[in-house]
Amino acid sequence: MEAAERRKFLILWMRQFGWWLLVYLVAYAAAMWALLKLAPGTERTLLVLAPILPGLLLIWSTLRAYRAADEFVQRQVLLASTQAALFTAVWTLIYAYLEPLGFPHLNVGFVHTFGWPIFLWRMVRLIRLET
Amino acid sequence: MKNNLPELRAERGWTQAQLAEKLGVSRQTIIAIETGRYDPSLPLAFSIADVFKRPVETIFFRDKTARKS
Repeated sequence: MEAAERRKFLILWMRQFGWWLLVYLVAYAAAMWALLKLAPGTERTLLVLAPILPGLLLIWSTLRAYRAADEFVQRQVLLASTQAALFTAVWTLIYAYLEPLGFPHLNVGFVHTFGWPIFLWRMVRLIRLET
Repeated sequence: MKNNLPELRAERGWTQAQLAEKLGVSRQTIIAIETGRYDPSLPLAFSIADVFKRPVETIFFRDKTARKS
């Protein structure tokens, strides 16, 4: 990918997802901080719930970008999503058997971290034209 | 399915990005079609034929070495 094309792609990505992702990550960090450091109360509740809105907006912008994508890109995104979902399902099932064997009990929030690397790897391959 | 998209594009001196822009698709799509990794849908195949002003069957043809599904 040429430098100009890379720059164009980055600007488009930031417009489509980047800003919402940034807001989401900041809200998520604030929520984690509030959860661990603040005493129960209105302020803590508001901060803990703060990532919900940018999270929903991130999902909305992702769906909008998906609809705007061409047929090949849509197909690659579906393939990546399917692979990520399958990997997550299989790994979750395996871990359910590993836990009784002494592996640490994990929060359900960890589940999404299994599939994301697969999905992102497929997307990076698509962007780098190694389809 | 095989295609002669790279030859047709080269004849006209178009880059992959230019062809992608004419068709309203991404450059990734053009690359995937040219390398035979992706067979376009009928609407896209007809759009490609329109852009090159040629019948669709002169651009896309069956790969006889490929296994029948």
